[in-house]
Amino acid sequence: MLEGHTGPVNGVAFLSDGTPVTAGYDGTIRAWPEGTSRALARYAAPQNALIATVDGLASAGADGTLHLLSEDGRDRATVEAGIGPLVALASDGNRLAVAALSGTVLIIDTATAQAITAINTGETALWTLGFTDDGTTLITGGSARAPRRWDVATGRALGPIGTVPAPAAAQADRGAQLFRACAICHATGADSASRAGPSLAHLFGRAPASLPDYPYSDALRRLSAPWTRDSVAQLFEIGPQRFAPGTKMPEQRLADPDDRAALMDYLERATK
Amino acid sequence: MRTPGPAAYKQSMRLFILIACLLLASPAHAQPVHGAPIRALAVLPDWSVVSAGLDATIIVHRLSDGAATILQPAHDGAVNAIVALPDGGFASAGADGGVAIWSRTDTLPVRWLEGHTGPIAALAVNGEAIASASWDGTAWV
Repeated sequence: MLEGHTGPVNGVAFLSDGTPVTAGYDGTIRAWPEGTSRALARYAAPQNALIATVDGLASAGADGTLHLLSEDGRDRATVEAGIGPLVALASDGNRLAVAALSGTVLIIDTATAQAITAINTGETALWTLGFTDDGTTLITGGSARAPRRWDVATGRALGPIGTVPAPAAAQADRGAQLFRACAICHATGADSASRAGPSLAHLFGRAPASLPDYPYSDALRRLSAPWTRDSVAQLFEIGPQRFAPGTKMPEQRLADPDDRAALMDYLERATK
Repeated sequence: MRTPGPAAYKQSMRLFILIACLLLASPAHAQPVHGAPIRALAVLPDWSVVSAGLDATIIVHRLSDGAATILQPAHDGAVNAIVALPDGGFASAGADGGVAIWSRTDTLPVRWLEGHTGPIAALAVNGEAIASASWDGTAWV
């Protein structure tokens, strides 16, 4: 049992060496090495939540201030969130999500202490939040009584759980779905032979027209820059005939940038 | 042709309202919601979300298709904290001062830890160790 706070203990976390550390209504952050107690930091306002980050600790204050501190208690940064009392924290490694009771969430880069995204959940009381393991989605809980999902990068609502597929799976499926049209002519595996089109194994970083077993057009032989995500995406943006006039590749375009990104994501995974 | 009398009209209106109510009510059953605001949640490595309300219910939601499981009541009062455990399960704690340890397969807790004399506000996990922070002014590891 760890005694030392002069009031309710609201938050608890572990330092990287396994030492427990707590945050209290009394405004202090205390570390508990081997059953002893040591104040790491003292703040004016009650502290509502505490979490370990890659660079130390983050503590959420009832005064709306987020404190980023190193493991030895030195203040790394103070973020005046400006969204009212802070109640909950979540971390996915490099980023921190801090929730205000008022319903706003800020996604913060722990290295720079800068806010990357603001999410207005619309909850009249927001209490809790968590990142999915891949860091793409934030789940929030509060007065709406059902967990809700948000895109971490854009702050957009992804709807309640169960109404739409998880975004990571949807993205993966979209890329795979788009590739079905390509798979008629192109293989992706390392040991697979070329079909009507050349194999795409190890595509990114490869020089154009570099497979010995495939009869490339002169249009492709004239290209010199190695294939990258950007160049392949550009090919689908403007169409093969503008990208390499005279290519044997049938004319086709992907107008939607999200589709191009999904296809590049799929290619990155499938052609490794 | 006979037009329906007021009684028949009333009856058919009642039937209509009943059907309308059933239709409107059914989507709510598809996704269980808590009886009170959600106070705590945790995302588990198997892509499910465990949420707990101020009403003491704990619901596990599968992110892929939204399939939800309501767990057996374990806490006496609000659940204030949920944390994922390294073995794939999770721990919950709240107003009753106890900590329930759950596996991912059982709808009842597999273990129950006590010690606090006041509500638990937060939990943290480090390997095998679970720490709880309480409004009784103490923390346990």
